[in-house]
Amino acid sequence: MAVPVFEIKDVTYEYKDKLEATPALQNISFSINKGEFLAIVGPNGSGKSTLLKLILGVYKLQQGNILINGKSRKSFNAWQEIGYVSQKAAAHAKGFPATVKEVVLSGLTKEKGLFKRFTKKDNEQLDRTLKLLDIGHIKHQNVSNLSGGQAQRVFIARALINKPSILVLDEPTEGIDSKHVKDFYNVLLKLKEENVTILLVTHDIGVVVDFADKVACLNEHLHFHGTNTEFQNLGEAELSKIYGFPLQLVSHNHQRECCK
Amino acid sequence: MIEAILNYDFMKYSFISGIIVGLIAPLLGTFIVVRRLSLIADALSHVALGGIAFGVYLTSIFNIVINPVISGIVFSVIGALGIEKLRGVYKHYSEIAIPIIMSLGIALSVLFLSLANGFNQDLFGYLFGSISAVSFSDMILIGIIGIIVLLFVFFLYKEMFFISFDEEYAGVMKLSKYIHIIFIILVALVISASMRIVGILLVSAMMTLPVASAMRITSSFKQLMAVSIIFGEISVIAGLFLGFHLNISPGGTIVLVSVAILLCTLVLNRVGVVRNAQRTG
Repeated sequence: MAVPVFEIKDVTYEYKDKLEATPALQNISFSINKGEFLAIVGPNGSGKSTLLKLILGVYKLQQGNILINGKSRKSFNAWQEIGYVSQKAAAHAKGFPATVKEVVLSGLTKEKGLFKRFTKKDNEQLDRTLKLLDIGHIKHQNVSNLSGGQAQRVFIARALINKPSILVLDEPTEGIDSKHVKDFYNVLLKLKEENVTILLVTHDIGVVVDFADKVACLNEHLHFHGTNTEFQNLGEAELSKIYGFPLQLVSHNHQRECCK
Repeated sequence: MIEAILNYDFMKYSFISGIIVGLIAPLLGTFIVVRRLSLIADALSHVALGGIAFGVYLTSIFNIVINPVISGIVFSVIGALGIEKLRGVYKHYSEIAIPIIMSLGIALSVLFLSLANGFNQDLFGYLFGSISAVSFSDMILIGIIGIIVLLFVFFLYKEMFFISFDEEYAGVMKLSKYIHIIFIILVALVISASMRIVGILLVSAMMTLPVASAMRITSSFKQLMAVSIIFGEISVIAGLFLGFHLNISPGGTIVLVSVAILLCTLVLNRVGVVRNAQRTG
């Protein structure tokens, strides 16, 4: 039986700025089950990142409810079980005086708890994680000197080091070349085999149809939530309606890419 | 100078206080610089000046002696909390909090100094530092602040690193927001502790210049901290020595030594002596 990890129930959210209120999400309801790889897609400004921030408790709920492992966000306290890779992760690395080792090890901060220092065991876990992502050779390099693909793998390693049962990714492959994008999704598939629940926000429909189990299509409203196959059967007319501009799905080298 | 340190209590107090400041100012400065909050030290030092002026004013009207360092600490801690509040209010323009609080600090200084009938020699010492002004009680206060800062960094290093590197992820992980508030209060305390030695107008240099120099030649965060402290201590010791022998305020000489170190690291970096080491860590 499917066990829901995230339950989003009738969530509505608007950005309030002075006298104006801009609606971002309206009456969103769907669930993500344990071990599922769900991709949230939609055009720019469709509310994808807003929904992610609501799920992660960065934004306060205005209407509706979100449950994580059956608990409300307030009573859920196992945040260390969630690994997170943000869209802006690579921007943090630019010019920051830290090594790959220091950044990846910092992913254990919450799990270790206050006042405790990293141990030899933590360093062994670090080495295993670096090996998984094939970045062991850059362990002592400064993070500012890494390529975009390497930096992104460092942030994924930071999210994975404490073996999270849930992985939340916000446009993780933004600005990364196609080879590293493919490598990255292969790592995700490996994690999926280990029953890690993956929630991915992306605008790259091409990779979604290749890798995700389920797809949620957002544009202020939830226009679609179903399996990957059902998503692919939607048709261009339906997708264009959701996106608000003409879309053409192009199949290329076993990857379907979304073009305007 | 060594003879003077052994013979005169005030020299002993200045030297010990200087060593403590040379350690704790760059230590917290490392987090301030990487979090791009460098100007916060300037803002809080000006608020501390407001507090000192308030202390001087109270002393002038009530004829009771109030240690201006204490009123400086109280004002800068309130200023630190004010900056945090404003950073939350202006989420997208959080840096605006710094000039607001800084102007308030200067305005309060002008107000209380005018009410207390202007400058005096003691105030000059607060502005630019003084070798002779550090009392035994000042040294004890600086020592207590030093111990608190060292304990904070020792026990909460990993949390501070996480918050400094990625504030957004720290929010997602629900790392305590109180850690950041304690940090800002400690910055205010270190500023108040440092102002006796380097002076209010130059205190932010003690927190940022050693770090700016160390950044050019280090690759890891721990190296950055260690080298910043070494540069901080060299600046304080050489600056106090020069200040004593040239009979000038130590604030100026300490900062000039820091700038000289910065220039050296820039030259070393330019000729590539440390560039390769930095790349590989």
